[in-house]
Amino acid sequence: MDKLKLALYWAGSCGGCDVAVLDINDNILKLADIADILFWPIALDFKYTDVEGMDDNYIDVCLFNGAIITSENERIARLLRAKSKILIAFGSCSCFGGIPALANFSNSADIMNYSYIAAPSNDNPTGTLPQVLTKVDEGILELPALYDTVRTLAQVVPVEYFLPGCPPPVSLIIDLVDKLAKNELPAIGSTLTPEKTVCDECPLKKENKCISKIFRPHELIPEPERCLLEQGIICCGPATRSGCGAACIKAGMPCRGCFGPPEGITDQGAKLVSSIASIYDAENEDEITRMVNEIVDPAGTFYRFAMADSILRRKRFQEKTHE
Amino acid sequence: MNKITIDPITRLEGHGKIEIFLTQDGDVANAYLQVPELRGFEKFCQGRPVEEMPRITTRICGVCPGAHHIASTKATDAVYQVEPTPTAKKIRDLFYCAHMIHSHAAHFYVLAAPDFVLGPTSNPKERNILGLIAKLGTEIGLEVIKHRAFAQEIQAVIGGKATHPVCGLPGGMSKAIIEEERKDFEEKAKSLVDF
Amino acid sequence: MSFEPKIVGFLCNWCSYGAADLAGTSRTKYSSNIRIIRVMCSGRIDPTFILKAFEKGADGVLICGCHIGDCHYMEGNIKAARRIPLLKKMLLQLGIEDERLRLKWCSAAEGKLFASIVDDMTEQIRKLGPFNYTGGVKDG
Repeated sequence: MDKLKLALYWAGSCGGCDVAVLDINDNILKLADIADILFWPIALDFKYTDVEGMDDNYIDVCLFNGAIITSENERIARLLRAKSKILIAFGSCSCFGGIPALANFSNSADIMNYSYIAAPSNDNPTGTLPQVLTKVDEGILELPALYDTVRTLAQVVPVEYFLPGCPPPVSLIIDLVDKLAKNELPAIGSTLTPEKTVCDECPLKKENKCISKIFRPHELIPEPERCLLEQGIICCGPATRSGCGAACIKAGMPCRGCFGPPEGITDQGAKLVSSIASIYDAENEDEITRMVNEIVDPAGTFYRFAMADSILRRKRFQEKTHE
Repeated sequence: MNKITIDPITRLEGHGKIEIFLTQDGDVANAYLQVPELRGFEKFCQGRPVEEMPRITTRICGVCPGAHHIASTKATDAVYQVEPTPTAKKIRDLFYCAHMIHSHAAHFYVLAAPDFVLGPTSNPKERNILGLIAKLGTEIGLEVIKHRAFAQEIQAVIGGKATHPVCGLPGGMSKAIIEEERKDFEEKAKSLVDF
Repeated sequence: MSFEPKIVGFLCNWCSYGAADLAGTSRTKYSSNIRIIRVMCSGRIDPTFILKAFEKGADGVLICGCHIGDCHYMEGNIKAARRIPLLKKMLLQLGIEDERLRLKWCSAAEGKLFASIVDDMTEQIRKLGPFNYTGGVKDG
């Protein structure tokens, strides 16, 4: 059999997914045995022009991490889509928007303004902002445009498979390499993880889900073996897909939902509202109000990783003219 | 004016593009480094709870999340004006040492060394970690992989995950170290020092 | 063209759907802006349904159930009473005004009350203007 032709790319991301691929350790040599890597900016010196020169469908499999934040991210997503037989959304940003999609609480103008001018650590008295086109003595420089709304890869181009996680765990990456080697990928559209929830994998004891007070993670030293949610610490496990082995919970911290919604759930945040409010031990309006107030940032907690993939996708654009 | 475009810049974390403008004689008239990305952490961290910062800012960089994690954790100490316990400080230091070892190993062997060992004039297709292993031999390659993995494992045990750890809290750490783990760390650390 | 709000009403089978029915049979006049969906209990309303309604073009969502203590299923309406305020808080962070989502109790005898809830909500949303769901893109 010919070697697989593989490409890896990062769009709006942090590089953690690429490090996760290095974290498969000596399996990387196995990967090099079964595949020629034709593009991987963090590790290899191939350029966009190399990819542009390929025939369509030349690449067998492309692992695409990162969200679609800029016009360049979108251009390369379309380019790699055209050149790849199988495109895999790799990591939470590519699958659901990830942490960068928290920018969907804002918009490009406000982000630019704060990041380059208003933030206290800036020293920018002339208020210079990056421009898409900048004229310099020698010619014109071009930067990509920053979009108002961060999108998932699948919102821009068709995607064959999804491997979530921030970053995807080594065991699932090795599993993927195995499946690629044996040519045993599942049905198109599958998410390459178990289908259940983090709670199903979580080793903590679950007895009676009924809470009367919410604690922020630093406000309580939890009993070590008991469900964090039952102790009043908001944990996103009930509406988060499994596959991580409850890694954060084993380190004593609640789940923040990086694997996105489990199979069959459309909106992770809405499902978390439902599952968490349902276990409130609050009978009257005052108690309910108090418990709602104890959750300080519901949208930023329940949509920590899946804002771009949610039904609303972003903070609503409100008409400023309306009084 | 002729120009050479290097896009993307490779073997580093982050996105970059270089445009080099040439004179008629082929000399460099000017060169521009451009950073074609912005995510807006400065903006979207606003409105998020303080204690969540160590879990959000790690995503600034997936190669050095440990640095962002510890920096944010220290910032949460400052916000609440709490001094971490001596044990927590030691665990944080241990975590951070492991992070430095991983980050330097990743930077040196995967990102930078191909330029020095294979050289800038080598075939760009081979000027990378795989070319490096091919040149130095699998034995050395496996030693490098093993020791970077040691550093990642120490971070993962303390932080939950090596990339994007979760253990930092204002005034402390979410998880203690048990004696078995400490012994394992000690062995790995000795091996790392020799390496 | 003047703006006519579209309101999706999720009404429980046992009390509030009866109230809407009574309003109809007693020929009580009220805004025709509401589109009613009958559900068995207000506790059956998954927050996802509400977001879906906004996605599909609703300008407001009204949820009506039995008065507390009167739920046909004992405490289904208490579940709604716990979920909706948390959802409202989350939606407020996402730029969705409080008035666009309402939870009200209405017995099968309160046809007039139901009519006045719908009238009141219609007028409030008329003042707020259209929801304009864009799927994340600025210009629709």
